Amino acid sequence: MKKTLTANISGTVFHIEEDAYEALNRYLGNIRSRFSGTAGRDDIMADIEARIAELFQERLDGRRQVVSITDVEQVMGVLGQPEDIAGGEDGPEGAPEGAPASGTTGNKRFYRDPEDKWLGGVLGGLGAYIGMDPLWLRIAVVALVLASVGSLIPIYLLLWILVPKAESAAERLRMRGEPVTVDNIKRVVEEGAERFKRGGERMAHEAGELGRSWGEHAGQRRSQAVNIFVKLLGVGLIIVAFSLLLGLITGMIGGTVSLWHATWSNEELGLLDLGELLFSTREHALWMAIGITTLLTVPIIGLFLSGFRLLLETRTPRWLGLTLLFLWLAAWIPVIYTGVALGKDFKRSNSTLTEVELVQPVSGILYLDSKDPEAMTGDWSMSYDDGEVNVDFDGVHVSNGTVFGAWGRLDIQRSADSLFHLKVEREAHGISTKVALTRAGNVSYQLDQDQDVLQVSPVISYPVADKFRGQDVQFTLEVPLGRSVYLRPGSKHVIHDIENVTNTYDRDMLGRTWTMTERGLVDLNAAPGREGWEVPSDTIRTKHDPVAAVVWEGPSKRARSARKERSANTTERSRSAQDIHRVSLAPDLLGSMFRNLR
Amino acid sequence: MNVENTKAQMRKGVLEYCILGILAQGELYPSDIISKLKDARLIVVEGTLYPLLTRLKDAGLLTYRWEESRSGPPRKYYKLTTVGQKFLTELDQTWEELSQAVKKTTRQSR
Repeated sequence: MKKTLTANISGTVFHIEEDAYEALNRYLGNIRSRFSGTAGRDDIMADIEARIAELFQERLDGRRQVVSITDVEQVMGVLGQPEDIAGGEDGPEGAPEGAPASGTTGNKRFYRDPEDKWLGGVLGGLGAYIGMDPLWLRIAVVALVLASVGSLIPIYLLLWILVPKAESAAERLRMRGEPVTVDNIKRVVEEGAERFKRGGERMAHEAGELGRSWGEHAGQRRSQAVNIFVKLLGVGLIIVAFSLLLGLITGMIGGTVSLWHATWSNEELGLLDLGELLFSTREHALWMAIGITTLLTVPIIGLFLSGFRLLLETRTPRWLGLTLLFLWLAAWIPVIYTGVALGKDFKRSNSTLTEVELVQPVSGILYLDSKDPEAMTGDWSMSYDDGEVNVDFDGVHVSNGTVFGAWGRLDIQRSADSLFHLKVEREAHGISTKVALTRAGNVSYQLDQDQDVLQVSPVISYPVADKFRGQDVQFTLEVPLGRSVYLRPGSKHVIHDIENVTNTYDRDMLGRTWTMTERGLVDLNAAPGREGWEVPSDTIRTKHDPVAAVVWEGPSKRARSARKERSANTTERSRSAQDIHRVSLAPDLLGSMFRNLR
Repeated sequence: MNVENTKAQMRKGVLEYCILGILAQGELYPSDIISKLKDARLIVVEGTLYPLLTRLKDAGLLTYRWEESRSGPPRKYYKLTTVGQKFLTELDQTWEELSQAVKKTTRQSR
């Protein structure tokens, strides 16, 4: 079924199919534009239209009702191409009627080929011009466009505007004719400006047509424009599928490598062993892995298939599609089953709170550090840097039926009484609160106190049989009012999000003495700024001394004497809380020193 | 110097002459003229005729009148004007002279 229009041609009414109408309209418009500026154009057009009407009537001959595209093409053949018709008028340059068909080879020119086009026919024309199959040019250009991230597209559009379309037989012949000559280049340059002006309008028109045919013919005849978009879509799908596949593979390799890396110190701890630690059984882990892999792979295969189908118009066998769909749906079963089983075992959580008795520090300052984990496992990778212990705790470590992991965290809070306390909360998940509590009780932690130094290990451990069930340990160090805690650099492994008055980040809290005040933890050595304790974090930075060592040259006499006084104090390793208070009595002095320093 | 251009120029001159010659025999409408020209292999596509007719008409050599057609749109019937007839007579003479000249010169040169 086709849509028809009614056209009045030279006073006679015709039913004409839409595509035929479009073609005829273009044809007449083309002729008209070629006679622009010629006296008697309207007469010529009227004559031609009258003849067209006559020819249609002859062709329809009372038997048929509707003018089709074939009729229009036949009539156009009889009347001749616009250029041939106008040729008689064009003066010396015009091609003689019919003569081109007799095999002339004028100068070869670069035309866009309307009969071999994907988009504007630029590459079709270029192919004809250089005598090459346009397919290869197109493949090359698509590759170049992709490689150049689209920067070639404006060049294509420019050519679309500048290069004329080969509309008549003569032009098409010239398009395939002789090699380029100096004459041609000159002419192209001369005509370039004019063509750019006209070409812009023309391209807009052609682009509009592409858009229209994309819209209108989508259902019926697959027009060129639709083909282009379909093919581009196909290429796009393949690219997407390819990058997804690449991502999946790198993800799998990366995941495996990082897991392997995390557990590198263990003999024979494969992915499945890790899976077994997470899932209820080894089989569950295996099924989950298979399910997830299928869920991810099948859509990628589907993308590839549909991409190739659009691009190469290959047919995907029905059974293949159905099998893939079935596989994909089936893959949900193990994923959901094992996932639910796993979720159940995480459902309840419980914890147990213990208090560790601390020896109260004589100096009033507790030195916090993380415990050397070597003592526990023997083979952690460690390095000593500037007296600081560096341990990479990101991994999981399994040995002798025990899981080790750096899941311990320490917070500092205000003590309710005048004593330091350390509270340890062990937490785990399970199918019931009872199971969770048993698992929490199975968690071991390590800490040590040596006089004023408290070492807490971030590494906790529990039996393999307990599996990964969100076990963690929360240490809470309670500091009494007026007492201080010095965070040794090593403590960075265990402290987590410690609240303080100055909102200092954990890593900036290291190497400083923090005193518990009514408002919370404060570094009393940091001079107060204009507003509260807002002091740049780099003002007082000591290495290992509890009290700020003076690392600058005091600019004034007064400052220097103050420095002397304090450096005398810093000679002692340990100091009392009073010392800190004494130093902090001169915040104005320190503040002015900082200002002078800047 | 392009041979196609020369050929086109020659043919164009002759074509106008022939149209005037055809119309000298009587009143005709374009399709008749076309079929005669096609028989003589002077034109290949019909479209070329219309601009020529219009130009000759504008030059005052031709005139036309409308006539209703039973089978289609009204037709333009062309005929020569007095100016056209004079023009044709002159062309006849020139053609005679030219063909003589061509015969003479080309024969001599060969």
